[in-house]
Amino acid sequence: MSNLRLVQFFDYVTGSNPTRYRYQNYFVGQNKTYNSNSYAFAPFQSSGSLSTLTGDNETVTVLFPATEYAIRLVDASGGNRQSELTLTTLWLTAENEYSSLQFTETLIGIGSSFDDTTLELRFRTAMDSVGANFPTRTFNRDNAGILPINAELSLR
Amino acid sequence: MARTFPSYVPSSRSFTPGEYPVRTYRSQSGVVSKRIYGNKPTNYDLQLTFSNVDDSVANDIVAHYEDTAKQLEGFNLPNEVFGGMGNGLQNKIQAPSNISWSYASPPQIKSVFIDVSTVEVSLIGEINV
Repeated sequence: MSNLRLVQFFDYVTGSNPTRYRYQNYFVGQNKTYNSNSYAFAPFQSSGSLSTLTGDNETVTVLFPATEYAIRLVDASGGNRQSELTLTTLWLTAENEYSSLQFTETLIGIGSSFDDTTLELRFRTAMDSVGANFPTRTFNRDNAGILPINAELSLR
Repeated sequence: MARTFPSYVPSSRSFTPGEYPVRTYRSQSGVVSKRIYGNKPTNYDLQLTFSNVDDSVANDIVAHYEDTAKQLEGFNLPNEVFGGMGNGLQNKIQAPSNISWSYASPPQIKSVFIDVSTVEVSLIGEINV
């Protein structure tokens, strides 16, 4: 039988007026130190694939309960479009000590969504595959100017 | 924290300790892998029965339920709820680490005689950070 004990360290930086938020999701109600930084507890979970054979990015999502601190995250990062996330997954021993097995991914925020109980932050890896549209950019007001409210665009 | 549960000694108690958040993956070869998602147990269960009590007791319990339900807050259990129980076991049940008690479902009241009822209370202890 193999047992898994994993803790994830969520190190989030907002783009404009940089603010850093650090959370971990295993040690309930505790602050844990990792790489000399303190991580508060937050009940988040992550899912998604980080890379594929062809290199094209797929979305990684991090799900929070729609609590005050999670809403503050989204608010500070322009709806999670101006953020960078370093997500470290670390294996723990049976005594809940850190093991040497871990991996770290650096991700960029591409948006967020919410419902009545949860708040979902969506990310992609910082490097995309080389293609005709390299580097891949997210459509936003910076590269299109002020958009009409009814969103009827005519490209000429 | 909402107000403490009414101080009455139940006729019977039933307690189930909390469980760690674990998900099991069972492969087609039969090999089992388990992943644990946190370092604290949760979902403690405590069933209390107050048999053949005065309706004023039932009224106090229902009033407490209504108060705590609208506040969505956990509450403490007084010593009287554990009357007759050893101290060691009482400490484990009364205030598990990081756990707050709340109603798992509304109290059940059965009228058994004029002004006499039996009240069944189902409580759940969950992590509240």
